Amino acid sequence: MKRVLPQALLYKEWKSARWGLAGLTLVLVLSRLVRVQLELKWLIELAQAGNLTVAHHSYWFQTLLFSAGAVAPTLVTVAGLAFLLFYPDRQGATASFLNSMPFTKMQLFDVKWAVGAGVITGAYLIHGVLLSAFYFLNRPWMFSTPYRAIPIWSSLQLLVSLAAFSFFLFVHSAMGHSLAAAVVGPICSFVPAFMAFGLRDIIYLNFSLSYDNALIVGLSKAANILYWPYLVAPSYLADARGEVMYPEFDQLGVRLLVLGIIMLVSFFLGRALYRRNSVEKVGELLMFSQLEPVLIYGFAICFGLLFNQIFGLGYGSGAAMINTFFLGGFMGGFFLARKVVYYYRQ
Amino acid sequence: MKIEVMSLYKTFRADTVLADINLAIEPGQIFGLIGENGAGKTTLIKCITGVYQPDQGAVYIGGKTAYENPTVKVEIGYVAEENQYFPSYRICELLSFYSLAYPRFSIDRFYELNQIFGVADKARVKELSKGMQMRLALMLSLSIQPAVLVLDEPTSGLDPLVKREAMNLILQEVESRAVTVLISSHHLSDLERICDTIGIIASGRIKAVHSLVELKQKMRKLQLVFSQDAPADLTAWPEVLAVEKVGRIHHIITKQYSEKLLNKLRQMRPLVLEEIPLELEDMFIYAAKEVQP
Repeated sequence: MKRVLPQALLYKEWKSARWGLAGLTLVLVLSRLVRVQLELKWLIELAQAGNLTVAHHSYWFQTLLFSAGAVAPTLVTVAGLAFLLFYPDRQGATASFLNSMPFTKMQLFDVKWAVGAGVITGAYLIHGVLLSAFYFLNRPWMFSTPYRAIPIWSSLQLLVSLAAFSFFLFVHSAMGHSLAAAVVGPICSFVPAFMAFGLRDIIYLNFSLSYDNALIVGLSKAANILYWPYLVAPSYLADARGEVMYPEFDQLGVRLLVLGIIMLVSFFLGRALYRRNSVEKVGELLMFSQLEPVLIYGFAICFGLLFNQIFGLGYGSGAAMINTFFLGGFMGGFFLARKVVYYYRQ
Repeated sequence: MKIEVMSLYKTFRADTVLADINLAIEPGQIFGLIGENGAGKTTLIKCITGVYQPDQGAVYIGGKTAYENPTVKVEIGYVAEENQYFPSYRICELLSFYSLAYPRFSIDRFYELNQIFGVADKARVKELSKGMQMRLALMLSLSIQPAVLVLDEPTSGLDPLVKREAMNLILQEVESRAVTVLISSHHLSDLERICDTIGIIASGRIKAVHSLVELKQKMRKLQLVFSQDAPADLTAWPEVLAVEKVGRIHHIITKQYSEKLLNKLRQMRPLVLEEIPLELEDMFIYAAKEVQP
């Protein structure tokens, strides 16, 4: 154990990550526990006034718990946690210091991941305990919501956070500048879906296809699959009497499996990249010059798509407009990205 | 532990920073590395300490490569020229970190050294001055009881008293535990006091390695006064490194001092022929001129 996760590194990373534990716990408490508390307070007031129809609020707890709104703040906090863990490694002198010490690069990466994953799990555990306590202390007010809603939501959100964290560490491993990586990481996670949506619109307009064309349908499906927040979006079902719709995570096993795969693939890719990190590249935008074309062209394509989504769609006549704005955005993005890469290289 | 550098090359993008470096530093030896700014001293040190991976060639510490090798790195005490510790750490937290990282780290030794260096252990690293940070780096590196001590400009920012103490401590380490020391410094008087071997690096290449005794033996400064101009072009002599002329006074820097050379000079019937002191700094300046590409 000591060989895989040296105690000195655990000590160092814990000192960096403990703020992440405090931050993530706070985000979870504010985005969920406080919300259900406020809702319960309102329901009690309704009941005291004699205006509460239990049947209409039978799934209030589950509805609030499963609703959107927790993903974005947890994602930002997890991105911050990855930044805190990588920041010292991306400071020239400190990077030299760490690499002169008796640790391997693999140990440095593994401990970062282990401590980060531990902190995230810890935050969800603390929140889960508080939420469970709230549930059992107010059991009569939970109406139809079963207790399993808490472990289901917690495990799904935990895996989303762990997958995002692993992905952010992977991005940090590829980049030599921690602040840039902290910004690029979350953006990158939406790029595949964004590209699929953008490509669909360009093809649709250029070839005058209909929305039920197989290619367009396929691209839409691909974009929906790649848009990962759908993984934590619930389906809404009618209750037994058909009076109230309540949220449920269908295909929970598949969702958890997909998130687990994303987490593991990101972890192993990040680890492989980190092992090849050179201290002399610290401070540059990218750790690997082979990735420069990927970043420059990727940014240019996204910039082009962003331009045509903002200015090209819905203004004037179809393809000419969208293509012009795409090309303009592409060229602007290309020169901007190249400038930034060269700036950080110096 | 012996330090061996074999045909080492290091390139940063298109710039070759180190080329064909070959060195061997024996256990218990104090090796001084001197060279102008940008000559490649720090890059060489970072290759030796396993911070940089050599592009070609190899670095061996005690017969094993240092890069990505914790069993070797645990034996190396490294003092960098700039502060490298986590700025927000208190000294006591840094001690905890070191004691977990280095099995031979001695907290008693640290506090023993702190009697001399006087760094407040409640302070944060970022609150320390440059000189204090250097004291801290020296104390930590000595407290891990290393077999190899690599010091990059260790005296920068130190006041003369502490500098002397630091140099004495390095000598004590060598004497008591046969530590191998590689030290790079621009303060050549410091090196002169403790080093037994000097390597000169220029443009990324080791241009010369001399034992200090040998260097002092070969490199002398002679003052000659002639009644008229010097009768021969002394710079063309193979034993002569440089000649400086002020009026009728000639200063000759030798690269192969010998009794034979003195006799050759005496045959030219100078009015005065005497040896004047030559410090390591002067030796370096003349040697550097000679090795200019």
